Amino acid sequence: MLDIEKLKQAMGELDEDTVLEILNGVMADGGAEAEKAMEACQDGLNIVGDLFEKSEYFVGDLIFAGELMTQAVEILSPALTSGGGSAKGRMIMCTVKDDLHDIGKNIVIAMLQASGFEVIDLGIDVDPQTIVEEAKKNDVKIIALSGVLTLAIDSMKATVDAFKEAGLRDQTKIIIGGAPVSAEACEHVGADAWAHNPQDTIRICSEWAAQMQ
Amino acid sequence: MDNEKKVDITKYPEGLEYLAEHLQLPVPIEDPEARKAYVFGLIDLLVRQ
Amino acid sequence: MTNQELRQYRAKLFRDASNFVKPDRVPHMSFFVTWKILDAGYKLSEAMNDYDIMEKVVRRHQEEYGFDCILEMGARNAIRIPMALGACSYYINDEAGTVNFKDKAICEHDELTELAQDVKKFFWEKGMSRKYPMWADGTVTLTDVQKALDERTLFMEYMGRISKIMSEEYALPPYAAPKGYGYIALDFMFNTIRGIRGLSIDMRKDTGALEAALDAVNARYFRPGIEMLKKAPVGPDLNACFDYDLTLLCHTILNQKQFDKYLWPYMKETLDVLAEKKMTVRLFMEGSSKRFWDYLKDYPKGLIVMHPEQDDVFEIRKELPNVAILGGMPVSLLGTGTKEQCVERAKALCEELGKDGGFMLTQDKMVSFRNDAKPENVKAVCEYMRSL
Repeated sequence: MLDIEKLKQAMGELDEDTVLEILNGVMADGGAEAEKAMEACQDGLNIVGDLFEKSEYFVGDLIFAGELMTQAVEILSPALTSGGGSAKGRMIMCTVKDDLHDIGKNIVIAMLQASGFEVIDLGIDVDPQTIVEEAKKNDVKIIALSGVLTLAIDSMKATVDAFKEAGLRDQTKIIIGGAPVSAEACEHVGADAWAHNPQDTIRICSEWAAQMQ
Repeated sequence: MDNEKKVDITKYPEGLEYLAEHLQLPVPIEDPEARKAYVFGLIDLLVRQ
Repeated sequence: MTNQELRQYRAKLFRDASNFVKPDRVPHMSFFVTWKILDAGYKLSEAMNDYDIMEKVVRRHQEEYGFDCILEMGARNAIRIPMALGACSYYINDEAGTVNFKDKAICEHDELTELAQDVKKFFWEKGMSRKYPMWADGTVTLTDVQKALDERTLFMEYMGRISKIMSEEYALPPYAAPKGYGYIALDFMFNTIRGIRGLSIDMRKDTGALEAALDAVNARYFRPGIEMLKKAPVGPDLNACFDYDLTLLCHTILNQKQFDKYLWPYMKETLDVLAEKKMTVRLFMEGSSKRFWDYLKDYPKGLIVMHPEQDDVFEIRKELPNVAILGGMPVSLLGTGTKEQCVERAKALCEELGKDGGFMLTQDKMVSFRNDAKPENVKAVCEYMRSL
């Protein structure tokens, strides 16, 4: 019998041994409780996010949490009927053109997924036109742009401009994140919001998703 | 400067000893320890770059 | 003033500011890296592959702007040495004017014990194999290694030459004293050996293996430096702007327990020795420096010059009145602001933070890309700083 609370707490405490033991137990029992186990892992990841916000956890803990969540999905996926939580709808995230950093992006994606978004990950070094086309193709209205290098600001601006040129800017919300972003950079880029951490990104994107529904 | 396949230079310590003996270095041949240290300095730099 | 006098005058500006003695004027340091190549009209790959071009770039940077010290003289991305073995961790895009570093770990988590057992063997066999395909497949030859060695010699010659030129012809003091560069073992793990992702896992999983590896890496690479420092004579090297440099990277990912266990003890040992020797250290902190503040507040004035990448320098002064500040000029302002805004910022910094010493102006981040700074803004700030 799955102990949901124990799994959730173990995930929140990043107790890898306990998490894997419980999940392997779920699968050994036939996987009937895989959906519930996945939800408990996602709730546990939200605890991780809260602890990050309180500065008890740092970026390294988020990276480890992402790794643990990946393992959880791998173990449970044969028994999962849905593709995971997407209650808040779809969004796109990527690292912008000429920037090859992916760690920050990957952390934020893991946390967004845990909070209920279906995130389309376009990868790194993504040019503005590709982002616009993918947004159109997938009918996505929330875009998160990541970057580490100072030049990412230029690429973020070019991306926002590309949405304007495509006539999609008014119906799209764009958030920028990463080391070089700031309130001034956000204004310069013409984005709707900016964030330095996953929790702010989740909060802002969740508000947008609620408004859109 | 070849005949180099006699020793696998990618193995330690035999590769280091071979390179320290055979490379043209600005360190006298009479000081093998200093020559090894010089070669290892290059390896450190190459691993970091 | 002769060049020698001017060089000493500039070094003294930094020394006075570091010791909270009112300097003749607030000194101005260049933290421009690859930007200066693009500013001189060259492609990145051209300058990085040709030391004569790089020399022209560095000369022009000083002729055009006129700083009191240049921190980076074209040696940051030494691509010719690894390229002699057919690989390089830098990805250069000349069209975009960008350099990205490929974050590639040379050690896996389950190899930490092996690393701890013999660091040299690990670097030689596994480290080299992971960086250089010809090492991995065993096709590397003595001739290849000789080429890399020759490239290293050329690089060292360039470093010697450019340092001499900038010192003698342009009267610029060296930024740090000879051998005055330190590093923390955990940063080496973070930056070179395990990477960001790997170290994050190591600190949560089988931490004994990480600790053993850290001890081994520390003993081989950093302990000798500390021991040498302990034997150094007391007192600063007044020919250089600072005695020592410590660049800190991995604190950006550590939680408090990890910080206290893996980073602070090593850093504290270095700071304590430097304090005992009455030397000055520049601490460059990637990301936010805030988590260091409590740890630094009891050190004496004159020891620490903090170069923060992200934090408000006015707030730092309030919180850490014992720490001199290097920085304050946002790259974002140099890149998108007007000349007037940039000069206004420099003026406010000098008046509020520098009137009694304790402040030196430089850019908050390494200036790397074309749009990081407008040349006219840089020129205006340099002219203003020289006019003080």
